[in-house]
Amino acid sequence: MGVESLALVEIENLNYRYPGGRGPALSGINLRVDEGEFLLVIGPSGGGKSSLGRALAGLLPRFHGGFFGGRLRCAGRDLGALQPRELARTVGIVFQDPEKQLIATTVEREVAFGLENLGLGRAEMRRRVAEVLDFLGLGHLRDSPVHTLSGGQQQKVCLAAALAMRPRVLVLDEPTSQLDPGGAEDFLHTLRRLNEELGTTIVLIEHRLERCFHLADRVVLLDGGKVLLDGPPAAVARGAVARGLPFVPAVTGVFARAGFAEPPLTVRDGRRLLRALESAPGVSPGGAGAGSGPAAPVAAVKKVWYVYPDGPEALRDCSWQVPGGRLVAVFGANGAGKSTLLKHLAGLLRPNRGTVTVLGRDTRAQNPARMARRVAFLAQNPGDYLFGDTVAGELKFSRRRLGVQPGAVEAVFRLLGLDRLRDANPRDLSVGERQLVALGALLVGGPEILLLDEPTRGLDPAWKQRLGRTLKDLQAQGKTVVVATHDIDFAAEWAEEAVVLSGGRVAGNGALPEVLEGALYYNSQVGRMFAGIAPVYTVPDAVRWLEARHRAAAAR
Amino acid sequence: MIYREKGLFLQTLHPAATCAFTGGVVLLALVINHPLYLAALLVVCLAALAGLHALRSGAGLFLFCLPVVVLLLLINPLVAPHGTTVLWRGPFLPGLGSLTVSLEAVGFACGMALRLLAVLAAFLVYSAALNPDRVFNLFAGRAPRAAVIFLLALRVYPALLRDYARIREAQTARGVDFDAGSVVSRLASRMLVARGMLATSLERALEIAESMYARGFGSGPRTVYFTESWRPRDGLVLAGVLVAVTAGLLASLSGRAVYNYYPVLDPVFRWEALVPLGVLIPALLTPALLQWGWNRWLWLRSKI
Repeated sequence: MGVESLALVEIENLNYRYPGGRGPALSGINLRVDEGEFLLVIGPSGGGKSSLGRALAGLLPRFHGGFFGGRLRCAGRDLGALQPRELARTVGIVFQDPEKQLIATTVEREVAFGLENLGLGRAEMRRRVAEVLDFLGLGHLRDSPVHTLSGGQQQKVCLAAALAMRPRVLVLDEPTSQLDPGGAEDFLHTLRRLNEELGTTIVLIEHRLERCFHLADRVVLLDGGKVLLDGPPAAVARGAVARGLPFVPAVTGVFARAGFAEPPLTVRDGRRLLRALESAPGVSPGGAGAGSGPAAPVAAVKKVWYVYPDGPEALRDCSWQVPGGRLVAVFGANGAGKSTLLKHLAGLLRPNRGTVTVLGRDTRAQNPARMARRVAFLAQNPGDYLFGDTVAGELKFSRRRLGVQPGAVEAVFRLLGLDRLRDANPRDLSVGERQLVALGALLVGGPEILLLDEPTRGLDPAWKQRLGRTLKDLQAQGKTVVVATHDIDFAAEWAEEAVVLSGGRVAGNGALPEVLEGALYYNSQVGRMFAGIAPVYTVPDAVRWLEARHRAAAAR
Repeated sequence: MIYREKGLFLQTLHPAATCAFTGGVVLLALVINHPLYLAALLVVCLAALAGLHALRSGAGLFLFCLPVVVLLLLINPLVAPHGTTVLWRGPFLPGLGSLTVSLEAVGFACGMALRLLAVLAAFLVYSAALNPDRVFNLFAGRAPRAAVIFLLALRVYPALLRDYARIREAQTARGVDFDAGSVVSRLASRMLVARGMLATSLERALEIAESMYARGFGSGPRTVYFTESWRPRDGLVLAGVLVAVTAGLLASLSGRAVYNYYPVLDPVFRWEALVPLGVLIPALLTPALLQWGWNRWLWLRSKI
């Protein structure tokens, strides 16, 4: 006889529209979350995931206002009827950006902040703070100023602050979107421990599916404010693939697209299946960028040293030539010098020693604002580029600044498909849309070189595909594209060449398959799955490899 | 200047003691106009800053204020018609009359510059010595909302500096040249950055407010996690401040610390002025002296 699970959260016909919102953010949501369950919520940007998270945390409509309908119960009590203090004890929430959640200046004070708000006694507060810091491995950072911590550590402090309040449900809204792969992995591992060792009920909203899909007991796919799919991870993956939706881990997507009825969710399970197919005859994959000859360099960094004021040496004797007309990925851990290298190529930073030559000229002799017409640099936060009232206004501003013909704006609208956003306020757009508008503002000048720093940060899989296609289109126009990224899967799919930075130096450089070959850390999910089996790194190559062997195995 | 935890003795003082020191120096700088007293206030603050290893970072802010000081030294002598010892007689200007620079007006400008620097130095000591979280806790029990606003305001400053650098860089990448063109076009370029910063700050403020709400802020009476203990060191600092403020106020009320810049400069060194100063300086040097002793004598450490 099975044990019947207890519904901790029950949502009935939930509808919500933000004040001034054009349409409903949530529409007819019916959902339950069981006690101790790990629920993963996925879907496109603007699909209603964050709104659902905020509704679960009782922030809709209390904090944001708007039109709310339906019922939302937690532990048998209507969330709307709870006093704010009871609400904070019932549901905890961790948001995307740790810097925008931290209130105090040291770790211990930050964790205690919520407990003080609950009016707990000092002894109880001390016990809870000590407990949660030790459990999350933050004890040694108790007195550390929060601004000295890494992004991953800061997000763990936010988690500790929420956990210390002992909520019945923990909601996490894209908590790893601002973290590097190492920090994200560590954070998600911590969530797994919380769920398994403490039985904490977790609702995780995430885009990094390959890292968390297998952790979940259940997956819910939201789109257009509605529940599109709801079930165990494998079933949702199959459903998503059947509908042509990209919201599955790369490994799962590969097998599903190759026609496997039961696609694996993890690299480990994928490798088991591959081993079984290994002996079947097949075809050799081409590999990303394989066969392309050497390209003339458009920029060169020669023995460059750079030290930030009051900071570490970011570049140390760094030398690299940027191949013209190629899409190049720059890999490296946090602090490896990726952003610094790109800023040198854009002329925004000048080397302390060594030379940087871009399009035949030393950057020290050039004004960075004037270089902008030929070299575009898109930093990590697209919001920094946007201040106009409309998207059209942003692009026209760039046209005036860069001194180009009026037709350039319309060309960019056509290239990026931004027409429907022409009159929208850039600040009201989703992360992906903002990214595209900021890119558009730079493309107006018709640059020959594009430098993009972590362009996939916070993007959902569909937006990543769109960005990748856009970059390929630009490359087809003869532009050189350099992308500094932690997202190896994105790079493996779209880039042809790669350079690996470590400690401010170039540690590896060449065609992408050569750089990824045998790599453990700097490798795509597909590359890891195929390691030692076949030189396959991208989804299309993997699908081709699998289809050939699947057919051969079926024929036998 | 931003607070940095350095584990220094002066950073362990009770927030009330540090506030008393800062408040005492500022009060005396505003009440007393004698240049010797103002110079003494500046010196005791510099000694405290040295104890806090903050002289270098403080020097940056002093340099930042230098244009104001220079303006004070230039403008006051030109526009103040008082003073009998004329150093320079300039042309007649419509609306301003004959320009004259007198020794007394220069002396007055120097006194005011000293006052400005002493007040600035006192606030630098406060910034370097006191963790904002501890100030928050000091007021958190009685005025929690005001305390949180204060804490957030302190956190906002470094965030704004980072925003400025980032947005300026992004706008440069869009072709905005901040150093080219007329003054008006340069100002217009900077206004772009200001617009971006405003939008970013508003977004950040909303997100912080949401996070605070989700963590129960404003849901009822708060308790306080940290308590500050009052130790002998705090008593010594407070006693020093009380002695200095009493000596300074008495000297001011009795006229000993009153300095006349006009119509002719009083002599700077007068016995009746020096005696209260002999009390004020060592009293206000208490924090710096304790820091000095703390680094040298284990015995003192065990006692304070």
